[in-house]
Formats: sequence, C-alpha cells, structure tokens
Amino acid sequence: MRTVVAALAGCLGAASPSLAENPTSGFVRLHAIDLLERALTQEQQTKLQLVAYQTAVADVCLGFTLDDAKMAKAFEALAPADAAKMSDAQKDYHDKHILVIYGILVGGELAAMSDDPSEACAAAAKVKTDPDFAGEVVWQ
Amino acid sequence: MLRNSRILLLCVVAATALPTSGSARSWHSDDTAALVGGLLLGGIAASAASHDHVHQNQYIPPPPPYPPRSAPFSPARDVICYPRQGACFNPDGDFLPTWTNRLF
Repeated sequence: MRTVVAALAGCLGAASPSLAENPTSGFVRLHAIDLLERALTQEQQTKLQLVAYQTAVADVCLGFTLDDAKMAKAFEALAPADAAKMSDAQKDYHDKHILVIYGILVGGELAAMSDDPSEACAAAAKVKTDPDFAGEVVWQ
Repeated sequence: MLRNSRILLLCVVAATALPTSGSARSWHSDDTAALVGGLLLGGIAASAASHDHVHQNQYIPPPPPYPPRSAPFSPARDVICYPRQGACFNPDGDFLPTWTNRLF
C-alpha cells in the first residue's frame, strides 16, 4: 500500500504538466494507467481505454448496448503478451488487475460525460459510424 | 529478513561459545540458560525465514517497463494526443476515440 501511495504521489508531480485536457477524465485516466504498471502493451492499453469509453457510453446514452461476444473478444485480446512464461497465479492476478483498471477507466469516462451527456452521446453517435473505428466497436 | 536472521545466528553462536572459552570448567546453570536462550533465538530466526515464501494472493511485481513515451503532439487541428496516456482529446477536453485508435 505504501508503494502505491508513493507511486501516486510521484505521479501527481510528474503528471501535472500533461493535464491540459479534461481535468477529471485526464486525471483519472492517467492514474489508472499508472496503476496498470505497464501490464499491457501500448496497443492493449488503447483497447482497454476504448472498451471503457464504450461501456460508459452504453450506460449513459440511449441506443447504445454492449455486445457480449464483442466484449469477450476484446478482453481476450488483453491477455498478457508473455503468458507462456507466467504461472497460473500470475495469469489470475493479471486478469483481476485488468478488471480493476477497467473499472477505474469506466468511472473516469462517466465523470467526463457528466459535464454534458447530450454532447457526449452526439459525439458517440459519430464514432459509431466512423469506419476507422469499426474494428474496435463493442456495441451491438 | 536475511540480515536479521544472520544477526540472530551470531547471537546464538556468541552465547554458546563464550562459556567454553575457559579451558577446564564444569557446566553451570548459567550455561544451560544460555543454551536454551540460543535455541529459542535460533527457533525465532528459522520461523522468520520460513515466512519468506510467496503466498497465493500476494502482490506480484510487474514485469520490466516498456520503453518510455514521448511528449504530447497535435496530429491535426483541434486534436491533441498524449503518448503517456495513449489517448487523444479535442481542445474542450473531450476524448477522441477514433484518433486514439488511429495513433496508439
């Protein structure tokens, strides 16, 4: 616990210059990523953030529902890159760790959307139809 | 933990070795007390060392970090991306999932 508190204190100092974006979501996201302790690759970390974003949208906006099969596939892609070298206990720890960080990220996205939910939902509607995003969609 | 065990072991050795420094000398009750004390200390040290094993639910340190990330950048007008977060935003602070997906 002391290590986590020290890490958070360190992050506060290091992170402050890069919090020019939405203060709430930026703060939560940055700390969630630090707490992730680089358990994921950059690509996996982005996927987790995009899934968390879509989860929050599905909770706030009408017309957005999560697809169970797509969610399962997305989380399968978050398996540790070096799983072959890990014990069962380490893999179990990884899965629980990822779930905790996912929960924090969803909370951050919900907090960001609370400023203006209708605008956030309008933006999500554009995202849903963006062909660049088609491969990442976990909505139905 | 290992350092403490070594200190305790030295205490045991000292406690048991001192009475025999005089050459011809009978066994006293003080010697028995020292021996018992030494055995107790040894037991404590062994017990402490046995707690060094990893429990199933214990925190597992993360693997070595990936290479450090670079400074924020703007790939397009009204888009700011933060490599440390692996995320892009517009100037109002809204998360931009498509730009994030494209660049990270």
